[in-house]
Amino acid sequence: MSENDFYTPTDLDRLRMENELLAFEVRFLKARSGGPAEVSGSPISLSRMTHLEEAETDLKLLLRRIQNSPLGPVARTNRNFRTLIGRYLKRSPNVGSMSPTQRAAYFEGAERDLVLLLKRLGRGPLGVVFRGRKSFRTLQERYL
Amino acid sequence: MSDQLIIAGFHRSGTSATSRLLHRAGLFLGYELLEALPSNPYGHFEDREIVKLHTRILADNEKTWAVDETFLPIVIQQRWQLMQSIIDRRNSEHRLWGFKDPRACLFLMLWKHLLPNARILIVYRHFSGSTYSLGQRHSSDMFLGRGSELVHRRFWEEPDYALRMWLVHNNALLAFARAFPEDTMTVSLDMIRDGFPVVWALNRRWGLGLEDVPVAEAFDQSISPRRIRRQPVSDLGLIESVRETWRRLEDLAGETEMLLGKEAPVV
Repeated sequence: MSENDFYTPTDLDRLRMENELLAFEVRFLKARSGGPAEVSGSPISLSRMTHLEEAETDLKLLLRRIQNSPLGPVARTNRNFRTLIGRYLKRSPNVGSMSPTQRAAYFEGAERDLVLLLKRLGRGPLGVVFRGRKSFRTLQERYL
Repeated sequence: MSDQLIIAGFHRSGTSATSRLLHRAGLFLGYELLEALPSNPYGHFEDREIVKLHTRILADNEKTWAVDETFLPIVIQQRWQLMQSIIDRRNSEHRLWGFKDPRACLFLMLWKHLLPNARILIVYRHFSGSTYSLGQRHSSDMFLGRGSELVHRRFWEEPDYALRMWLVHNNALLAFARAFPEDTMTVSLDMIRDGFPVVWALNRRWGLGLEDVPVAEAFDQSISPRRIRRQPVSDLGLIESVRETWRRLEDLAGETEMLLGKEAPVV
């Protein structure tokens, strides 16, 4: 019998699994406190809100990556790109202090901006370069 | 003379949604189907009699539905007889029938032995989607106090439990597909979600005579979201096996698309 036949979970494994269970519990409690399908006080369902929050995170990551890449200086010459940088990286609003409706509107706006950005990047002269990257294709699959 | 179509796929892989589609297309799936649950709001489309049989075979082998290691089932005479009686009744009453049960992944060879002409529709989903969905279902059941807490808790006490289950079930499907390529068609949940005309494809390949129901009519996109997450894994030794299994499933689905893609109707 080889050593590969044995496996001992580490404390880190246990911590990870506990963390996963807690994350599920938070989602479960949020869903229950806000009714079966709605986030408390918001017209948007919990799953939709989760999707929108993820879109905002993905948009910020994408903007940071472009900004820090060799394409950054070129991208910053574009007014629309500068607007997005200003809106999501420089003056990122305090989402926690927003009302549920404001928060929903902000995240929906972020999703719209992400969709537009992905479409433009995919179509532009550098579209081939972007589409060659797996992470970019994943975003396209997720949001377009 | 009857035709049979078995829908096989790991738990939380979209087999219920696919079965719903085929049920609407006229496939007989059983005399008494399991009721809907919050985790499957449109129903499971699983025949009680078949699920009971599979559960008994698993129990005979000291297993439950949550199989996470490869095993060769031992089937006692009584179970063979029950399988045969299930087949005889359906063959005598239906021109085309089938069933869906994720446990069937492990017993396809047995069914094929008794039903040499049976065709199998394999439905698979990305491991991160299936395992996340399993975790979600069992956490909800645990918090609601539904079913055995021990069963639910196992998903957070044994590292990679759900991932190993995904691997065992999908490897069983791949083994079957390799042995019976002519009687197997493989589709991914993503393909169906993107409108792949699965009913048309089944008719085209095997002439089953199902009524062509548009996928969008029977498939609720919101039930199984597409999002692919990074898969947490503790045993690094699993990664290569999972990758290989995923790649082989994708290859099979690619063959389905290539075989039928050129002629597929616009949906």
